Amino acid sequence: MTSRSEMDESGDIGGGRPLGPAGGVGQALPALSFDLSQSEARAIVVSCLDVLDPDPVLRDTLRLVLSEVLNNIVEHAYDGALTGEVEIAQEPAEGRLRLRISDGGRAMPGGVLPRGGPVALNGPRDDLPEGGFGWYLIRQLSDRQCYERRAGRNYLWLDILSSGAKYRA
Amino acid sequence: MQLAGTVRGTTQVITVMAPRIDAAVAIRFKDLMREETERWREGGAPGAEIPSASGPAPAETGAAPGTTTGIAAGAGGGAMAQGPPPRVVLDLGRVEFVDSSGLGAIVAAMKQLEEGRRLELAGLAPLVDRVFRLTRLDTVFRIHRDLEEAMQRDIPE
Repeated sequence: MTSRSEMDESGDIGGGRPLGPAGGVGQALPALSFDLSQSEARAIVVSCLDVLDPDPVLRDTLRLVLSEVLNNIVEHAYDGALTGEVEIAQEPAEGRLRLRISDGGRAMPGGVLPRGGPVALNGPRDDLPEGGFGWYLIRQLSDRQCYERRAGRNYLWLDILSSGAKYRA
Repeated sequence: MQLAGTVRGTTQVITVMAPRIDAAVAIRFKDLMREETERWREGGAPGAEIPSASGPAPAETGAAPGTTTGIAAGAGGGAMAQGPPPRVVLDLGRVEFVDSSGLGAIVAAMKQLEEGRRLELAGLAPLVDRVFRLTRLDTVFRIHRDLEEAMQRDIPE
């Protein structure tokens, strides 16, 4: 993973810095704020996709990634309380789509992102895992993941290649 | 989230009547799958009386009127007497989106089947197919292109 400083040179991550070109993918996504008590995660994802308007393959990727990220925020950062908020913004990045997702919930355990390794599937049927797919999917569907805790907020950056070629079946 | 179940020969077909199996409905999906696949356990447990010809007990969890959550007319009694169909095909033809919670719920549905019964999948939309392949769960389930193909491949015992 590239260092955080490369992704965030200004250090001004929470202050609504102007959004740059969209790297050829859709249009700039304004920093959208959502109240999780009023909007379901799925509706938020749909709003983001409508604004970004990516090509169909990238749209599917984004739908999956954002769904997984938002579900994690709802379930873990906010403990299922449904009283939080989340902000999603697009940040300038050459040739790729970079999203910044922030929330005011609990910090990631240990201050780091889950490893999200592959789930072991070779055991007997009764030992097959019923969870642990979320962060594996996020890591499979994005190129870089960056996490910071600042001033009581979680910041997650995800880079997604604009071409989508990597993600085609 | 609703399921529609029928029995065709030695196969129980369960069709998901919803566009998504995601975090919002995963637990309900798992519960409904248990209800559909354990009808035989309720009525046909060893030593228990086979229920009368009226068929399996009606679904308990609020199926909307007019939906088919029971076993197809005419198939119920016979299937009950013979025990559960060994093969369950989950028809995902109407499902366009499955997230990690949905994947977990489908795995759970397979694990809660009795020994000797197997869960197969049919009709995966492109995005659904993709999450199964990304997580390698496509190596755990037998996956058919659609329900028709699944039924053609049914090998009677």
